[in-house]
This record gives sequence, C-alpha cells and structure tokens, in this order.
Amino acid sequence: MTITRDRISALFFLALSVAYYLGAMQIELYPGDEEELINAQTFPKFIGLMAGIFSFLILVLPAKGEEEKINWSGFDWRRPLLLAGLMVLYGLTIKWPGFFLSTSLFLIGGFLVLGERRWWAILALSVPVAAGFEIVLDGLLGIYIEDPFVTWLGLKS
Amino acid sequence: MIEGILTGLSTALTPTNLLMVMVGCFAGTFIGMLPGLGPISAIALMIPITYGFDPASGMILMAGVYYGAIFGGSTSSILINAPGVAGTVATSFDGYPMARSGHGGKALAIAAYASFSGGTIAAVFLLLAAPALAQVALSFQSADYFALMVLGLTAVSAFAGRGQFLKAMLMVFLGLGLATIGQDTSSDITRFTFGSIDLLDGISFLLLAMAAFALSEAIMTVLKRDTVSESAVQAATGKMGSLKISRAEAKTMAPVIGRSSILGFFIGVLPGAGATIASFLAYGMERNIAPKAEKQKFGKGSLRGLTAPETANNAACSGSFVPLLTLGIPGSGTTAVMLGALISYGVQPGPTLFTDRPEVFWAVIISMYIGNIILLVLNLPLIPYIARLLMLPPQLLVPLVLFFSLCGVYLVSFNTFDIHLMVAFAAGAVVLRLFGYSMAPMILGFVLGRLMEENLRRALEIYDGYSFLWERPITLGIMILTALILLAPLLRWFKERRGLATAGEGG
Repeated sequence: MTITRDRISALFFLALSVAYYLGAMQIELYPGDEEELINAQTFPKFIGLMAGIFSFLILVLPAKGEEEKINWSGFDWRRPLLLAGLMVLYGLTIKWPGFFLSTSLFLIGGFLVLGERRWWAILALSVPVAAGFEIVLDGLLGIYIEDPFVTWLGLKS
Repeated sequence: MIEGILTGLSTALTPTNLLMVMVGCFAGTFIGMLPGLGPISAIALMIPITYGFDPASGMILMAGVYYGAIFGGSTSSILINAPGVAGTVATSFDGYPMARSGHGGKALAIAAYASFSGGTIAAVFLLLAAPALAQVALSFQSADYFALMVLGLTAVSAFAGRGQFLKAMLMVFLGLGLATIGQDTSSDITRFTFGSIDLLDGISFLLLAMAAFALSEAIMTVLKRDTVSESAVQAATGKMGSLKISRAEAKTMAPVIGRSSILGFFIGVLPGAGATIASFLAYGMERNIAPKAEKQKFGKGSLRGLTAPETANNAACSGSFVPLLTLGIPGSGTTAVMLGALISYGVQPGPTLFTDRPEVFWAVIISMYIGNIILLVLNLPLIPYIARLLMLPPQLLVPLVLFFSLCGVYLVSFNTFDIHLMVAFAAGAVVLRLFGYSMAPMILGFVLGRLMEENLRRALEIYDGYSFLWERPITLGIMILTALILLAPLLRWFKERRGLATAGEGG
C-alpha cells in the first residue's frame, strides 16, 4: 500500500474519529440517561463511528490512478503565516487600544506583508476604512464599539 | 397562490427591498468576479450586515448576491478564463474563445440574456413547485425530516465527483461533529467544550462559514501566489466590442434556453447537485444533440455552447431554493449558508415558512425575478466598467476581505475568542483544501447537525425505538433512496475492479 495524499489525510481523520469517539464516551450523563434510547452521547458516538469507518475505507481501498501530488515548495508559506499572525494580533488588540487603531494597523500590516509599497494606497485604504467603519457602526447603526484610543483622543465619550 | 404572489410583490417592491436586490446584485457581481471568492463567501460576508434587517429584506439581499455572484463568475470566465465560481467553468469553454476573437461584449450579452431567461423560467417553476411541495411537506413528521437530512447529506457527497465520495462524507461527519460542540439542546449537558465558557453556546455558524470560505479562500490566493494576470489587465482596459445580439442569434438561443432551463431547474432541486453539475450536463446535452457542423464549433466560441451552461446554472440556482424553502433542507453549500442565516434571523425554514411567514417565502421568490431583471438592465451595460475590478491587485484586496470577515464575526459577539477561533478554523480549512477536501459538505453537515439530532430524538420518542425507519412509508422510501445513492459509488467501484481484472486477464 503506497502512502498517498488521500491516505495521509485519512490517517489523520481516523485518529480524529477515534479521539472524538473516546471524547463522546466521556460526555457526562444524568443518572438513568444510559438506559434511554437516545442520550447526549448517542449522536456523537454515531458520528465518531461513521467517520472512523469512512476514514478506514479511504485507507484500505486502492487509490484511483495517479494521485495528484501537492508541490509544497511551490507555495508561498511566509505571507499566509504572517497574515495569520496579524489576525491573531488583531484579536488581541481590538479591545485595547481599540477598534480604530487596531484595524488601521491590521490593514497597514496586511498591505505591507503582501508587498504593497505605495504609501498613498496603503494609507488611503487603511485609516479612512477603519474610521469610516467605526463612524457608520457607532454613529449611524448605533452599534457601540469600545475604543479606548479614540476616547483618549477626546473624539468619543 | 395569487394572494401569495401579491404578498410577495408588495414586500419585494418596497423601496427598501428593491434597493436590497440592487445592492445585492452589484455586491454579488463584484465579489463573484474576484478570483477565488465564490457565492458562498459573498453570502457569508453579507450575513453580519443583514443582522439588523427584517428576515425578508435579509433574504432578498442574499438572493441578489447569489445571482450577482454567478453573473460575476461568468464575467471573469468569459473575459479572462478564470471562473470565480465552479458553476461557471463550462461558460469559459466557449465564452473565452469568443472574447479572444474580439466578441467579449457579445459573449457577455449572450451570457446575461441566457442567465436572465434561465432564471426567469426557473423562477416560474419555483413559483408553481414550491407551494405545492410545501403543502405536501406539511404532512412530514420528524422521522421523515431525519431521513430527508440523511438523504441530503449523502446526495451532496455522491455528487461531489468521481473519487471524492468518501472524502465528502468525511467532511459531512466533520461538520456534524463540529455541530455537537456546546450545550446539548434537550438536556443542557455540555459536550466537547473542554471547560471553555466561550464554547458553551457552540460554534457560531457565521464564524465557521466565514473561516471555511471567505478567510480560507483569501489565504489560498496568497498561498498560490495569485496575481493580476495579463489577460485581466487586457480585459479591464481593452475594447469588448458590441453588446448587441442579432435576431438570428436570438433564434438559435431560444430552444437552447428552453431545454437548459428545464434541465437546470430539476438538477438544482436535487440535493447536492446544483449549478456546477447543471451547467456541465446542459453543455454536454447541447453538444450531443447539435448538428455535425455546429458540433465542430463547440469549444471554439459556439453560441449554443455558451448559452446552455449559462441558462442551466441560473435555473439551478432557483431550483436549489425549492428544498430550502419547502423542506428547510439545503441542497447545496450556498443554500446551507442561507439556511444558517434564516435560523439566525429567528425564522425556521420549512413547510411552515409558507404558512407562518408567507411574506418571506413569497418575497424571496419574487425578488429572484427582480434580481434577474436588475442584472440584465443595470449590470450588463455597466460591465465594461465593472470589469475594471478584475485589475484590483490581491495585495490590496486580501487584507480588506480578511478585515470584513473578522469584523463581521466580531461585531456579532464582541468576543475576541471568536477571532482566534476563526484563524484556527481558517488554517484548518486551508490545509484540508490542499488535501483536496471540499468545504461545502462540511458546512451542510454543520447546519443540519443539530436539526438532525433533534428530529432523530423526537422520532425515537414518538415510535419508542427505531421502528420508524420501516413503519413509516415516507421514511422508508427516503431511506431506500439514500441506500441506493450510498451503494452507487460502491457498485461502480466493483464494476471498475471487474473491468480491470478482465482487462488484466485479456492482456
């Protein structure tokens, strides 16, 4: 049996199914629920079992013809990883220092990571977008956005 | 029915809702045209915007986005041979050669007229079929709904393509598994929360849809180093030629439109099939029945070859609303996202939608027709200008898409945990995409997961066991159909094995 792209992923899914099934067995039930026709464990157990069977089938059934190979080196890994980092950072800063500064910096960072070097474009699509969004949400739609930085600037009460 | 149509007209024709269709069509065209972003992403991006709207307006906007995205996908298929949507791949077979020979404007006009006609004919079918099916569906019980959901999920996998069935089924189970996270609705027992308070309410549908589609699709364009192609710049800046079509051309198109509309609508109604299969089948059918001389033109700029898939994909879009509106069961990834949106508005889709919220039911149907008119009257003349969007560089576009996606989810919950969970899911979705897994069956499984468990629970309680599977004729019929769909790939596999063995012996 050759290890193909599908089999690697099926192996992962098989491990996940086993873990999920074991997790389903750990779901705490109310006393007497074990005797019921269906309880909080039934559906997850069924899902774990079926996912395990299907993963196993991919593993054991012969692969169809030539497998499409993934050219891992052909991808640009650096930029998506940097973008993921930026998104995590955005999540950490959106409450403090707040929506406006955090969004502006996220957009500026995103443009720079992806290779944009025209500063007029970077600034035109970051700061006004963040400000515009906040004005529309906060001012027009009445959705309150916590923004310590803008409050500190005295632009918001 | 007349009363219903009038209700729909009075709701859909209000200035606000007309504006919704227009905005939806434009936004959909814009997003659908961008490489990598399809109708599911387009609709998912609209959900946070529509939270404050009444359900009818929200659904009208989304229906407009759906049509617009398909239209936008056709535009990039024709002009730069880069279908933004799988349903418009067949459009590029003859649309792109036409554009290359200097008839881009004509190709776009044919696509627009074909889409309009396909969408209109299918909207009439929908108008007739949906209420009738909704009436029948009123007699359905939990057992039948459970069976229907099993059928829908199986069919989605069966139509996933050759060799993809098992992988699609795995994605269905992944979606079902993700749906079990949080509090069990009937017993309040927590499942798979790992002690996290943030997971008590389960994973938000919007979060998952945004991560699996909008975020991961945007990241994939960066990963694959997609750039603005030369053909995109040429299409955006060059001349497209006349948008007019001759009487003779219209005459050739008419019968193709008739055939492809019927085919497209019925394929769209089938769970799991949808626009992609409809467009390929219509293209294949036209090529098979075309006279020899016409057959030669297929793939080189054939009028029939362009008309057929464009008509069928739009007709299938309308068809896919039938199971959503009448049974509350989505037949495709796109309608699954719409179902999720409806549930988040507090509207329970299904046969009761027809009786309880007729204004939503009928307004969606009527707005589809209005959407088609808007695409034809407004979008077509503006195409030369809209095409300039194809030049938008990904380095400016991607961060904006990421921002809209993250912000859309954050502004619903105001919980930063959601942003981090989204990043994790998007990373998982990118890896799964690289391994050739489709996200649509997963979102379908997720949306149907809780409904499925609830219906199974109710059926088991009513019948005091699993006897509903054989005691209720409707349930039994649906389950037999499901078994047949499930066995079909297996039978094909055995047949292929036997064929190979025979060839081996012969050779």
